[in-house]
Amino acid sequence: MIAAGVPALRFGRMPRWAGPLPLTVGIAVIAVWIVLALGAPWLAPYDPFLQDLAVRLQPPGALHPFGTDNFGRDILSRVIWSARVDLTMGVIGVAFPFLIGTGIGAVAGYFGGAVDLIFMRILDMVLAFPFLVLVLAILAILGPGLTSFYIALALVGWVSYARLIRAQVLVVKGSDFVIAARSLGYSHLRIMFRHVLPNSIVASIVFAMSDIVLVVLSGSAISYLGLGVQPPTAEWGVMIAEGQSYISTAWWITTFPGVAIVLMAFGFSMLADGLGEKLGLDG
Amino acid sequence: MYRFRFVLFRPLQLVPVLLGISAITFVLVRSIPGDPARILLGSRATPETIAQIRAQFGLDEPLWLQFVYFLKNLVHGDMGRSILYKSEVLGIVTDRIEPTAVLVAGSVLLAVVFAVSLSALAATHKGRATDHLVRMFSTAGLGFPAFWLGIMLMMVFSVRLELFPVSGYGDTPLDRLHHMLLPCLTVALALSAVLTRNLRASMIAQMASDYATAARARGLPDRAIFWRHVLPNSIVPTVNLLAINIGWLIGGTVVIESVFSIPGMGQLLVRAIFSRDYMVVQAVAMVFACASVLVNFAADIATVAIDPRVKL
Amino acid sequence: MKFAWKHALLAAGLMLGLAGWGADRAAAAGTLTIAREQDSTTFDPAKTILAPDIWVLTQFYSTLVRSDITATKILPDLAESWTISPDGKTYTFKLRAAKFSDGSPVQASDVVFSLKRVRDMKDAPLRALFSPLDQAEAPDPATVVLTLKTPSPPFLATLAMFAASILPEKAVTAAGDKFGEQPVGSGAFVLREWRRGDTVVLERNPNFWEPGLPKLDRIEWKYVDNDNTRVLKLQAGEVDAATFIPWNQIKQLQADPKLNVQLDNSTRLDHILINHSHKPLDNKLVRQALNTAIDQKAIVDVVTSGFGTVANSFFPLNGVDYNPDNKNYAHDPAKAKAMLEQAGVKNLKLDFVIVAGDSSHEQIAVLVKDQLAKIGVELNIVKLEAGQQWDALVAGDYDLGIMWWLNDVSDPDEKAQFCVSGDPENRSYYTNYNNPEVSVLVQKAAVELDPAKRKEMYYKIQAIAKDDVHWIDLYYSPFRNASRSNVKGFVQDPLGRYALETASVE
Repeated sequence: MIAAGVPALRFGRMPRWAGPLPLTVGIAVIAVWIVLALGAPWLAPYDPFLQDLAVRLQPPGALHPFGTDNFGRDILSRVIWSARVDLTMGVIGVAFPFLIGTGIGAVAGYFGGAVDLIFMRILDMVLAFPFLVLVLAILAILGPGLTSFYIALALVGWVSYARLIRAQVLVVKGSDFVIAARSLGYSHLRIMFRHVLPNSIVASIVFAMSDIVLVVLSGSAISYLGLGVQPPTAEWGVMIAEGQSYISTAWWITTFPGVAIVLMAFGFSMLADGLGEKLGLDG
Repeated sequence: MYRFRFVLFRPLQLVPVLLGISAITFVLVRSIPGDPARILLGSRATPETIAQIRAQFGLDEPLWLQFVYFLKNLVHGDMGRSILYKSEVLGIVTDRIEPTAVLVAGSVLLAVVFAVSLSALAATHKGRATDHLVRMFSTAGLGFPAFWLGIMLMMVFSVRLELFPVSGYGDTPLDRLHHMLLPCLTVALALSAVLTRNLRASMIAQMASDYATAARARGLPDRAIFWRHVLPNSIVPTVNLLAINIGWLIGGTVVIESVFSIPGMGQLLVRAIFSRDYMVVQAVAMVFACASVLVNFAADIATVAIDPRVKL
Repeated sequence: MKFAWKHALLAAGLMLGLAGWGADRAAAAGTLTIAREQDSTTFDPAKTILAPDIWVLTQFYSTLVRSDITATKILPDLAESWTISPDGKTYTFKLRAAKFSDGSPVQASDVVFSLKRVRDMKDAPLRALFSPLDQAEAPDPATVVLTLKTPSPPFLATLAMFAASILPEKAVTAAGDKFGEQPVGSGAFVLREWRRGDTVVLERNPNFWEPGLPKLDRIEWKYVDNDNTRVLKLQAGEVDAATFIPWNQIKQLQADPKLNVQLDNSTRLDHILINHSHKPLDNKLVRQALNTAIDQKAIVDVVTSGFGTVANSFFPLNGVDYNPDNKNYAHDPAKAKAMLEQAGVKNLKLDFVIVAGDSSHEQIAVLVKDQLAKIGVELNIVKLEAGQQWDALVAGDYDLGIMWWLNDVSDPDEKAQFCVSGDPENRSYYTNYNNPEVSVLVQKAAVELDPAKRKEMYYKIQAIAKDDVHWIDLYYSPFRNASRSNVKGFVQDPLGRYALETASVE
């Protein structure tokens, strides 16, 4: 939808600094994670829940490449299985805020006036509402777990996108080409979708990709406060939170899920950069 | 004239926002199952003691009446009493504002310095090694769970190198700064990663824009283009992003406060919610809300100041 | 572009500059700095049952009598001596000459005031323990006469607990609601400064009655919530002692010559509650099967890194009248499976309620789920936030749940009453366990004045409770503190009280 609408904004002759490398790398990394997530039952060497107290806290070795945790569970297998939970968590956690926020932000920014005023006051309210109070209250009301987490994110997360899009729309709106388009008598919808949005959404997409990582990290912060997913579910944030008292005695428990989050972050960031370049510079 | 009105009237909008937030918080927190007296007394709670405590704190009144009392007391500058701490809420909460404010302000300051430097480096060296390094940093910095990163920094800088205190808040202002540097750095690493990603993208877009090209065609030096056009324009969305992140940051510092044992609002809030210490939650929510509104107001002013094309 | 590097250098320089002056690591002599895992809420002894309050406030107050460091014997404190009438109903205490920290003398009227206060205050959590007290009188300033409604062997131990702290009537009345923030007592230390969420500073009480004590001039309790941070602070020398060392780091810390790990006896027991009103958990055979299926040793090894002890009774190790030979169930999954079959139970699914954020409970749940799966019982772990977990327990909205208990008082009566007597209010700790034989024994033991007979009764109660599997005992665990090796006497008694008046820093 976005890429199809050819932006009317014409950039001058610019050197094409970067090729599609970041996009390729990003897609490749994310693809690997998706393959791992989908293929977990076949790719993971052990059952992620299998406890073997005889091999508790084994450092990485031939049998257990990433070592074992305090229950003797294989960390590699748990890291692989976690990809399922975390990818889902990241995507769902961002999708709703992104859609809601982009819609509201674009409408408010483009039309301005009373529409803008109303949306912005709602936004002020949500923005000023302490995220932590909301998340903890919702987690406490609905019980710890992912559903409560998604609901809290959806209620609060859209604000970032709405503000970001609105700020961009305000800049783009004032630009010559939109004024030109208006004077040509184009409809609002057409201007919005073909001109304003494609030019404004880049920052939002870039942010969404890093936001996926932020969602996973928020999940790990929630786990730190003890309200993460129910045990014995394998999830990176929970693995790190649970293993944190072992940081000085069994580093591998926290390190490998940590590396997994960083790698996923890397993938999405590359994807974001590549996408940003494609959407912003091509055409 | 228009701008003048905006500066004058915008703070007044704080009032309805705060009222709305108080009301929502009031209902939200009280709808969490679990009785504060029961949580306080645990297995030692008897129906008698529970009833006594509920009566003492007015929890046996209907919800709307409790809210009316709350507002009435608020007008008189009374935030009520804490069930958990058995003390005036106002004193408990005001003591906690400074540490969190210092943590957030320090983190933002460090993050902005990092982000502007790094994204300028990356944008001007796009596609080259420097750019890739910056990207690596911004992806890595983003991916580390804060508590893990905090403990790692602590192990290296405090225990090994003995440069900083491990944790705590310190006594004198300078001592506090010294104590807060590591926690601020921990937050700033993640925050600057977010900002860098955004700022770099905007800068690159700005450098490719018509007026940058036009300016270049007019023979302006790169440096002048950067300072006069690219930076001010690309920083607009970033300022907004930062304003939003401050709302998150104030709430999100709780983990850092816990790791670095900083006596801040986040820690107070978490415990208050877990203990159903309603009045403390209420007060903290209002402080957070004020801070958030003021910061966003400041961001709006900054947006206008930086980019006069934007009308609010 | 150079300018960007300049920014980065500036930032780096700023940080290094700030790092330039080293942290103030050397602690002043006579000062003990302790990093602890929780924050205090109030220092009013009648109004709290929270460990972080109690462990600090016991430094501020004296009691009529106190328990010794093993928490099994009663010693004189403010009362120099006492006599108990032959019918066990009248206690007469002779007070020593002592002063409160504000300089006023400790008088019999203060004792009467303090005990009546905790008995009559409607929101005092432990007031029930003082209900045997009928009258309290002060015939002269140095004599207190307490009359009980019935003979009560636990009463002396009750007087030794923190809730029975002797407070100055005048200061309490003057401070009103604020007394919990401005405590005045006749203990070894006084409150100097309290920064909530951060530090509680204690200084020696110059008026303390015991000559030569306390040895320390100053104590600072620092609230350090994160386990790793507490240990790192200790290792870096920023604090002299740290509480609640993570189990898995104990070995590592023991190997450090600069540190001392102190594993003091405690009366803590971690156990699994069983809701007897949910079928088929009302069937004793099923409960026995569950107990037989659980591998306590594995739990001790994983959760406490082997530093705990397998529990064989609901009475705590190191507690009065604990029976070390109480018969326990041997771990035997095959036998457990057979027992379930014998009971005619198939496809048993149980809800296991645990408290969110308690890492040892999450670990127990993961282990127990696995162990019960081996006998075909499916466990659904329900993680509830602490406040809701109480609601679930009280409402009986659970099948199994994890809890722990630390004695408040050295006498076993409180725990027996609370956990197995079938009292209609707390229904044997919300398990709905009710065995008439046990209920009768508990009430008999409560008033039995002969210690030997009483012990026999408690042994019997422990045996029946175990046979009935009123709940599943998991493990006993010691207190775990660590201190710099120059700290002496940083010890806890089995009830958790820190004996800081005799502690010192060399």
